[in-house]
Amino acid sequence: MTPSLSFKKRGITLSGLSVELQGKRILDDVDLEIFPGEIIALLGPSGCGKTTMLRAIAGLQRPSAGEIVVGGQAMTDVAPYRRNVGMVFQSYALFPHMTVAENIVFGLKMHGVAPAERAVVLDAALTMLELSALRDAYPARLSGGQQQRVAIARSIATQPSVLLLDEPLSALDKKLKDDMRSELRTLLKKVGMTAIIVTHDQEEALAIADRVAVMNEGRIVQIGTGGDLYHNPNCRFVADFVGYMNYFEGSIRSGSDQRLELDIGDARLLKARSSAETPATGHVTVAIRPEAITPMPKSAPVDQDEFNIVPACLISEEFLGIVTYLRFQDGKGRDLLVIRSGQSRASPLRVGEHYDLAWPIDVTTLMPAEPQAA
Amino acid sequence: MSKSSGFSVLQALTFAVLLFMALPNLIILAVSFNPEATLAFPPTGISLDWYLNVFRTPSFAAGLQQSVFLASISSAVSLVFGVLAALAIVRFRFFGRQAINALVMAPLFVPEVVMGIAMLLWANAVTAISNTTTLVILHCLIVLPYVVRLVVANLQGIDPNLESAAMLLGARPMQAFLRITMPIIGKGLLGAAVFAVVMSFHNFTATMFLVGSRPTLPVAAYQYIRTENDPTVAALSTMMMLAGILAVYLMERWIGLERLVR
Repeated sequence: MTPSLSFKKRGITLSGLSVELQGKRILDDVDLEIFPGEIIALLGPSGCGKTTMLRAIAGLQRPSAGEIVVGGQAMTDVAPYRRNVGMVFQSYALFPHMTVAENIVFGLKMHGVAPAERAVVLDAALTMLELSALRDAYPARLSGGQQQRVAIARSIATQPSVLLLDEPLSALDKKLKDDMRSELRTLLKKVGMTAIIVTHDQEEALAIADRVAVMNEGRIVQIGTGGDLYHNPNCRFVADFVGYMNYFEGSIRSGSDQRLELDIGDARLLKARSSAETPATGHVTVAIRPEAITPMPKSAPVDQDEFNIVPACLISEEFLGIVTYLRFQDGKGRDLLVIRSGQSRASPLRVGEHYDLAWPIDVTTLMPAEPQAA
Repeated sequence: MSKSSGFSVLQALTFAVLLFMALPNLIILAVSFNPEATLAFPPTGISLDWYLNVFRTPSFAAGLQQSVFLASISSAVSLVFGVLAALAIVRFRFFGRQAINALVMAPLFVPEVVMGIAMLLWANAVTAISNTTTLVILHCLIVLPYVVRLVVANLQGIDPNLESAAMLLGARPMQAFLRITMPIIGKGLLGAAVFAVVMSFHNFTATMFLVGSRPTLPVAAYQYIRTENDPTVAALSTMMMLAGILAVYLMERWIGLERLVR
């Protein structure tokens, strides 16, 4: 990497951060610890407060309560132009009356960097983002992907302590989006700066970030690596936001140190491993990922100690190439989705037949039962 | 083109409408060359005497001076206040925003005769105010709605994140406005200024009530035509039209007219 573009890795701490707009709580008492050099994704539906959180960190939105600390310095009352926070806007917000080069050096000019040094940084940024051929082009003549690269180059030219990216890929078409996903992570890791990326696209969040914070209604619902969120979601909202999930509502019947027995009605018991987080008694939601389930012929022997079994009837089969979606219904009318790899060599199934749906008790996730939306 | 070679019905109609709109002006043009001392059509010959007479008439020179003075002062003043008002209307959500918007636009809907009379009564009540000052205020009021309208349209076309981006790059709010917003709306402001000058320069009805010893050019032309029947005013009108066409042409070249008609 060129020595002229180096970054100090800084951590970010948010404590009790709240934002109120016209009496509405957009951000509700958020605590978040971001480690130096980490890429965090804020994932959630529109209106969940993720962009507001980004704007609060940038200083564009005044918090109604709470603290923002960047690299050990309190930032809450610091004006945006003194924060040294880089931001890539959803619209890219490139200055239309300036060339690519002028856009990139704007921040350096504002910081009073000498022209000779500006030229060095400009060259480094242009090279890093492969924009050298476009240095004298105006933004209106650039493609979406090029505009995005200029926006990133402009925001890192001042070597900010933190880079904020607001839906950076949403303006790109599907194909380019997929390419840019891994490119963006590679770039951010190469630069090595702490970054927060806001997105409503779970694949984007999982692909780019080290950790993902799932947000809903102004709060962080769960934070963890993609694997954490996928395999151990703490509620239905997270489970549904990252992939598909099958659910049973049930209650805990008996529990030991290692193992819980769950009553899901229909005189049927499921087993699950107990952990520190699982409640000892009462109502729970049992969740199983569709790809964890194997449909077995009725007569096949199954180790009842290691597997849960629910008999169900195959309703439909959708072959999608990479995977096949199998829709089942059990005796109580509960719908169950099973996803099978397209490469599966398992014997073909027949619609209308009954099978035993089996899955390892290890992948049986428990979460607190939620009041069902009527 | 593969279409029929002659005029289509649509083309003929379009041409007819354009001719209908331009005809009165073309008649003025023709009359201005009439060698005889009457405002009559068709002209009996071709002469440039009346064009010379425009320059020989002192009230026209004084009128031009007064009109240029009024147009430049009122467009400058209304540009400053217009940009500030437009910024408030576009950027901020505050109590009374709609009321301010309505007030600024009000002169568009008040008949000019009413405005003229109102200003006259007001000027008489406030005796300390000079005639010229009253005229400047009147022209500012007339021009302001157009300026605000144009600047609002220009500002609304700007991504509000541009200034935010500039500030995150280290620009203070004023720097962000001057370096980002101003250059982007610059051409729009120039267009608004030209428009303001033209609106002020051409105003007759309201101005008529307030002119004292120093009439504006349109009022001077009106006063001339009340006593004289020669084509001098036709020659003056032709020159004013040419100036207008030149202004439109230059605006189209430099700015693009679509910025003004949005």
